[in-house]
Amino acid sequence: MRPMTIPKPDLPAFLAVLTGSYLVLAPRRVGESDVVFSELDDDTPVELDFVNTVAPPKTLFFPSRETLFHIEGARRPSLHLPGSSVATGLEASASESPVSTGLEASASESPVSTGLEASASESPVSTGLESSASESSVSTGLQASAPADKPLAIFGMRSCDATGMAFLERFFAGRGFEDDTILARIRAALTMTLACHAPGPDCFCVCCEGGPWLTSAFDIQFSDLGDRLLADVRTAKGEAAVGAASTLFSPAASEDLDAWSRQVAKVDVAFERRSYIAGGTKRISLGQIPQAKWEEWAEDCQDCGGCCFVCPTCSCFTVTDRQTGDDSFDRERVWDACLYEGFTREASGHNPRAAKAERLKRRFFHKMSYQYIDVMGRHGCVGCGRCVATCMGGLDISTLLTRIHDECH
Amino acid sequence: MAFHPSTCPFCSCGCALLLHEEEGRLLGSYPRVGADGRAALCIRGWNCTSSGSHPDRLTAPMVRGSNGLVRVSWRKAVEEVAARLAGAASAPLFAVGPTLANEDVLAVRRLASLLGGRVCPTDLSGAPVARFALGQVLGRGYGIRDLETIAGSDLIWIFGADSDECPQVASRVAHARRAGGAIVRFDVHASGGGDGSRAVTVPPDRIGLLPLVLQKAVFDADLSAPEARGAAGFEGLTDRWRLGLSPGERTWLPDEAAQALAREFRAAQRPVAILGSRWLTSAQAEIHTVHLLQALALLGAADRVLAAVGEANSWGSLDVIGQGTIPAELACREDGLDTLCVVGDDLVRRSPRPDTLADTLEHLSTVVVIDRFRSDMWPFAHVVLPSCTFAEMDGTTTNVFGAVQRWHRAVSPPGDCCPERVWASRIGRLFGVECWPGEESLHQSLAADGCAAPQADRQTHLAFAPPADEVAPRETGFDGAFPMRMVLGSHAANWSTGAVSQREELLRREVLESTLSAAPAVLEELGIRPGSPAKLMVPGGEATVTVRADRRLPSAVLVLVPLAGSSPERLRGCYPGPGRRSIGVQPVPARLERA
Repeated sequence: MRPMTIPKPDLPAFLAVLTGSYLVLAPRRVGESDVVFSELDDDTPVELDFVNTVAPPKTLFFPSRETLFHIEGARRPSLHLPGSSVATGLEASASESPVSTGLEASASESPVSTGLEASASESPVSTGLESSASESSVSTGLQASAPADKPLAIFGMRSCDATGMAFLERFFAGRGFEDDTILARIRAALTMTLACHAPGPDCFCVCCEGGPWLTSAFDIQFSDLGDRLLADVRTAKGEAAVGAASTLFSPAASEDLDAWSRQVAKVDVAFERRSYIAGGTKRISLGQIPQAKWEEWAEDCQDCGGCCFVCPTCSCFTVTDRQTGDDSFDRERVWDACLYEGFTREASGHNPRAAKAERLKRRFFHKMSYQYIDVMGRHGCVGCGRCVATCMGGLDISTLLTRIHDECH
Repeated sequence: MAFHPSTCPFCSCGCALLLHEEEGRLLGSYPRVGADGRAALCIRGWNCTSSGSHPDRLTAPMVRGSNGLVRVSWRKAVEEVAARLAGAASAPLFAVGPTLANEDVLAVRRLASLLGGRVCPTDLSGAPVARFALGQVLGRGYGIRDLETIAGSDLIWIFGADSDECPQVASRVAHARRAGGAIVRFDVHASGGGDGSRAVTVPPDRIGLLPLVLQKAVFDADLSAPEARGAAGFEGLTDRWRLGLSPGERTWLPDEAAQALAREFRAAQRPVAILGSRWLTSAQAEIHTVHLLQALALLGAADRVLAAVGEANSWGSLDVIGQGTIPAELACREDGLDTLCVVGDDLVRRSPRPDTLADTLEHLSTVVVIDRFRSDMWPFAHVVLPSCTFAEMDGTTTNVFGAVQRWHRAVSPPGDCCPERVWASRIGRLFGVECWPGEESLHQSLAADGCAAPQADRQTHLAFAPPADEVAPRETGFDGAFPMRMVLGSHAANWSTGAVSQREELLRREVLESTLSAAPAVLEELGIRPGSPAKLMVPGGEATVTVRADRRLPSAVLVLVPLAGSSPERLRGCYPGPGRRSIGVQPVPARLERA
């Protein structure tokens, strides 16, 4: 589809059209300084002038805490999907129709599956309670939590975050295991990025192939041209969305494309923060950083785990049972952090990475080494800069790569 | 789905955060740009959202009957409380925890006033000690205004703090060090070197002498700041040293070394002093802290002090309660007490002498507990009223810098839970009085009640009035039965969170058990392998605890990091005798043996 433009005042109307088919989220301000993705309402306008959202969009698809299933009764367990008061309930959920966007073009090209059908027959999941529950045959397909009523349409996702979502999609789809639940959410979503016209002080996406503009990993890429937005529509899903509000869009004129080109040139040189990605990747991959350096840097780590939680590409989680009553539990998936001491502690009590320096080294190896680039198709940093803002110890990707460059000749 | 601005409920730094809520449930927290312009949380802040649904959460009022505590309607529970208060033989004592919002403390204070009772903080040490000393020397209850003052410092003195005690403070110290600032640690173990800091290792029994040694150094080297010379009481302080008072001979900090340190501090452009929990909970801490602030005032920096301890509203609740109150622990042990209301804390778990406190509680006619979680107060309670966690109500807290911050309601409280101010109002109404009208601002309410408003903006009035107590600490010496000294250590993930949370899963996983650190030579001599259990004995009892080797420790010092509620925690120590102003829980004479 050729580039289109939409006047800024018409943006709310466009998003309103999408609400028929999607749960539409857009950047909105909370307080003076913070921007988050939230649902549309009449009180707070969609924010176009911001560096990035506080939380990465991964939280919309891969929540920091999510109930996988519910276990009720110690003697006779019954299982509940979240939101369901009927025991097991799996059959009903599985027979419901796959989530539709309501937009025919995209629905026909990429039908969204809940994953229940396949998993119900292929991968029985144990609750671990069978021995005490002989009367109950524990049902299956539990990894699929209840699908959302509507897929998400996210307007205003920054380029770095869209790159991060593509990374996560690869992670959850690849290497012999597919997480149907998360993949269904990601693949059903309409991703509408908002290219950056001014980098923030912590941004370094330009060093990480994470922005400020993209050539893939979006359905529609919007660029701010002052009184209007330029829309670069790349997928059938995006075309359907624009088509549903066709009266609001006009084909882009040559001056629109000229303005966009000028902006690209201006933004590319506006980044103040640079990062020594290539040198850092080489030294980390080849083990050229002295152990003493890792130990010295680790002294500054405060074990908060914040770098992992704000990272658009970090995907580590743990699974815990949360007691909800005398004999009932929720089995939950909860974000975890590789810098936490307990992350690699084994059941025996042995911890291969008990020392903070080992955890820090592992994190950077996992994020930046050739070995992981080979597996994931790119390194694990998109340059969003959130870790720069949140790390109290100066151990974010950008700063530590600079320390490697400065201190490890 | 929504994001609600709020404030971390876990310590007195009061970091700004956003709560991620979906369908009435908290999913996570994210850092928000706070007053200092930074957006960062420590491990506690990142994991603060699951307390509301903890299995120990109280959701319904309960009244004790013949078969124990039974659920009742809130109306019946309130009537039971009112009847008991009306028929009490003595004025009630209200023990108020440090995690209540200012509004809730004020409502409880009003209820106490209505009933002729009094309000005492449950905090034993830490923030109350620091506030008392700051008030004595500076005339205000707060020290430095923000964490960035530490990051921008060129010299930091740290008294009795573990490096991972408060991550926000530790990160600013590290920042200052990376920028070329010097760090000096005064502690019972020699932690200098690893992070580039220097160390002054103080024998555990001589901690209280350190401020006097520093004062003496200031006078010996004639280093007193001009503003100190003009302050009230300066001449009296000078006379003390002119009269030849001597802190005695010391190998751990001789006069020359003390003078060199004082000179360095005086010459620094932006010096800062940090008082950690080991300092502010040490024996005689109140007197020692006054002396230490006097020394810092003589060096021109009494207002550049951070007392890096406290829970969510330790500082604000003391503002509202007012100065001059004794800790609830001591008030509970006074003769004639008949009725006790414990609001937002667990006195038994907090007590260094839980067994004797339990004896006292058992004999009271009425114990009312208003709390968020089931606690060790449960067996003594006649009435239990469930209250809200920080995410379930609106309210304000005052952080260690004197900034008043907000909690916003992000989710609905479960069952009959409601803020303490609502319970106070319901009880007060049965006596014909409204304890929390609701429409007033906090400051108006405080003024109406004659409370001190948050004092951060008050003018400093430097004064050197010495406390009327002994000057030098008594050296207890070592004996054969207990030849070592045990002090407390801390870890951020195992840090006191009061009654806000009963531990989030990830925090629990980070610190699985209590640990005791000792010098490697000591462990070798006793035949104890690091990582194995050992028997720790103090005069009040004993416990088995896993041992770690710590090369920084002198041979006579043990550092215990107890898990809240564990048996090692019960070995923390004991109070000085009744009537003393100082509340100390360490160092404790100790002995270590193979398990």
